[in-house]
Amino acid sequence: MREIVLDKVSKTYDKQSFAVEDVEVSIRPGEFFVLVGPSGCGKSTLLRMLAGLEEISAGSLSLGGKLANHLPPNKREISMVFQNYALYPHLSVEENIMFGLKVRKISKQERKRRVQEAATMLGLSDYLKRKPRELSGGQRQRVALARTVVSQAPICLMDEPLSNLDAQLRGQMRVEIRQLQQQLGMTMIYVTHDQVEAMTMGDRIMVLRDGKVQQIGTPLEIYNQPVNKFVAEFIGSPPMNMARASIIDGRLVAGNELSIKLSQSDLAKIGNRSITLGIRPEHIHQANGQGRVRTTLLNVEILGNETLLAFNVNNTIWKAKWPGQWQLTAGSPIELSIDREQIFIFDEISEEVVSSPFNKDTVLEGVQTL
Amino acid sequence: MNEVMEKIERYQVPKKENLWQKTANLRTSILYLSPAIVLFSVFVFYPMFKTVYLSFFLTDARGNAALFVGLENYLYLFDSTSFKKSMKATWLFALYTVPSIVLISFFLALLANEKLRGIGFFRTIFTSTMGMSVAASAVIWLFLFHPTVGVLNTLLGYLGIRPIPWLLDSKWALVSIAITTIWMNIGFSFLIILGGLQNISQDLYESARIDGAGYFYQLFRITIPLLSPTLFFILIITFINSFQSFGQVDILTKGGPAEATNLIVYAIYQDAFINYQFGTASARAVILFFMVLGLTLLQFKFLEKKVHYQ
Ligand SMILES: Nc1ncnc2c1ncn2[C@@H]1O[C@H](COP(=O)(O)OP(=O)(O)OP(=O)(O)O)[C@@H](O)[C@H]1O
Ligand SMILES: [Mg+2]
Repeated sequence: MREIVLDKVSKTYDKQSFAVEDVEVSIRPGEFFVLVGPSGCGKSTLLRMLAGLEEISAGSLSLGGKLANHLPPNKREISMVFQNYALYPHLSVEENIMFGLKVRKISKQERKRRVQEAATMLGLSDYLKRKPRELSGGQRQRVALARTVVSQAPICLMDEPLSNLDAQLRGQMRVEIRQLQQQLGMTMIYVTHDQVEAMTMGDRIMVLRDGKVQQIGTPLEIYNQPVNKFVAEFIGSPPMNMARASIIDGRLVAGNELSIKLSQSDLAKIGNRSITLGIRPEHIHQANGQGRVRTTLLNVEILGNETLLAFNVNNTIWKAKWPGQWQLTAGSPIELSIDREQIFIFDEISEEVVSSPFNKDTVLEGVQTL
Repeated sequence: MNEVMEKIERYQVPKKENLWQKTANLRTSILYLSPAIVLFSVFVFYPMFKTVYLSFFLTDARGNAALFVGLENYLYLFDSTSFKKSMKATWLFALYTVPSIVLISFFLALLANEKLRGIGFFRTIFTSTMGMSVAASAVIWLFLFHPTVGVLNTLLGYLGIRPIPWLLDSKWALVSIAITTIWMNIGFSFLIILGGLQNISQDLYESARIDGAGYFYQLFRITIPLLSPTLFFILIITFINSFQSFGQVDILTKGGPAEATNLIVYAIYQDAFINYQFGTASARAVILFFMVLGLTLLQFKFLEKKVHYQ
C-alpha cells in the first residue's frame, strides 16, 4: 500500500490564474479522503492531476515515496470512476467491466473469475449481458464501481460519482461505496461538492476554495473547528448563520435584533476589528433569558422530527433548528436565545476565526455560566 | 372477460364526436403538410411516375409516349453492350471513389480532432471543398489535368515521370474523374465524421488511458465502434453520390473516351437529350432508382440496429 504525497502542487491552464494552488497533503494508505468545495474550485483538476490525465504545472506528486509527476496514468495503479460513469455504450456490462483487464492482457479465466466476483459483490450478476443503456442510473453506477473492483488497484479516484442519482439512491450508494472501500482496503480519493457526502463518508476532508486548501481534517474537526468563515458556512446544513456585528458596551450587537454579553477574553481577542458573528442553527433555542434575539418569524418548516425557523437578523435570513414539531405562525414576533458558548466570531476582513467554542478559555467560561 | 376490461367498460366515459370532429387531427396535419405535398408532387412524384410510365414506351423526339412496348426497353438495355459498359463504369467508379472518400475523410477527421495549435485552420481547409460547385471544381481539375500545361503533368515531369494522358486515355479517364470526385466529396464527409468524433465522450478515452489502452487499441475498440453509424451513413451517402455523378463527367470527358466514363446518369442524359430515346433513358433511370433504393434500405436496416448509442 502506498502513501500519496502532494507537495506544493499547482495547476494553471491559462498561465494567468491558478486552478489549483500550493496543495500540500499526504493521504494515508487505506484512507477515505474527500475533496470538497463549491463548483469551479479545482476539485476535478486536482483529481485529474492525481490520475495523470492533466499535467501538474508545479510541485511534486509522489506515490509510495516515488516521484510520480510524469508517470502515465496506467502506471499509477489507480482506478477512476467518472461523474457520468464513462461506460462504453457499445459493450455489454460484462465487457465493460472486463475492458481494463483485457487491455492489461490478464488471462481469460482470471478475467471471468474477477468479473463474477465483482458482479456478485455489487448485485450485477443478472445484468452482465445487457448494454449500459438498458440499465437504471444506480445499476450503471454499480457497473462503474465493478470496474474499480476488478482492477484491484490500490488507489481509487471518484469524481462526483453520485451526482446523477436521486436522493434516496444517493444515500444508499454512499453506504455501499464506503463499505466497498473498507472491504477492499483501498485508498479512496473522492470528489464531491455535497457536504453531506463529505461529512458522512470521509475519514478526512479537504475543503478547497478557488484552488486553495482551506482546511484538512476529520469531518468533526471541520464541523466543530472551522478555521474560517468559508469553511464554517460550507459545511453544515442548513449552513451556519452569519451576520455582521459590532461591540457596544461589552455586548455583541447585530442589527436591532440581537444582543449578547461577551466574556472579557473574547472582548480582548476581538480588540477593535470589524467582525462577523456565526452560530449554527441547532444552537439557537427557545428564549431562556440568555443571549437574546428579538425578531419576527419569517417562515416555519416542519420536517417531522425537527422544525426549521427562519427569521431576520441584521438583514440576513437566519435559521434555527429545533427538535420536535412546533406549530408556530409565520409573521408573529418571537424571542430566541443563543448558546453563548457556541458562538463563532470571524474577522470581517481576513475571514479567519477570532473566537470559537474551541479556542475559548473553557475554565473561565465554566465559572461564568455557573 | 378479465377484471381490467370489466372495470374499464363499466366506468368508461364515452366520447361523443361527429365525423368533422373526429378528423380534426387529420385535417390539421394535411394543412401543415400541404406546401411540401404540392412541391414534392410537382418536382418529385410526378416526374417519378412519368419516368416509370415512359420506361414502358417508345417515344417520339419530343418525349411523348408513342408505342407501348412493355418491358422491351429493359430487355434491350440488359442486352446492349453499351449499357453493360456503362454499368461496369458506374460500379468501378463507385469502387474507386467510395472507399477512398470514406478513408481519407476519416483520416483527416482523426487528425483534425486532435487538440493541436492552429487546428481550426486545417478544419476550415479540409471542409472548404464543400463550398464549391461541381462545375467550378471540375473546371479547376480540367486545368490540372491538361496534358501539356497542366500542373499534374508538370510535377510528374520534375520527378522524371512521363506525362499521363489523364482525360484522353480510356484507362485513365475514369481514374481522373474519380480523383476529381474524391476531392469534391471529402469536405462533406470530413465534416460529418468530425462531428461524429466530437460526439464521443472524452471520458471514455480517459478511462481507457487509465486502463493503459494505447492509441490504436482506443481507435479500434472505442472510436470505430462508436463511430460506425456515422461511417455507415457516410458510406451510403457517398455511394449514392457516386451513382449520381454527372457534372464532372459532362465537363471533363463527356462520357468518353470510348464510353469509358459513361456513368449511368450521364448515359441517361445522353439517351434522352442527345439521342432522344426517352423510353430507354427512363428505363435506365428506373434501374438507378432501384439501386439507390436498395442502398437506402440497407442503411435504414443497419441504423435501426445501431443508432441507439447515447
Ligand atoms: N481544460 C480546461 N481548460 C481551462 N480551464 C479549465 C479547464 N478545466 C477546468 N478549468 C478551470 O479550472 C477551474 C477549476 O475547474 P474544475 O473542473 O477543477 O472545478 P471543480 O471543482 O471540479 O468544479 P465542479 O464541482 O463544477 O466540477 C475552473 O475555473 C475551470 O474554469
Ligand atoms: Mg468537477
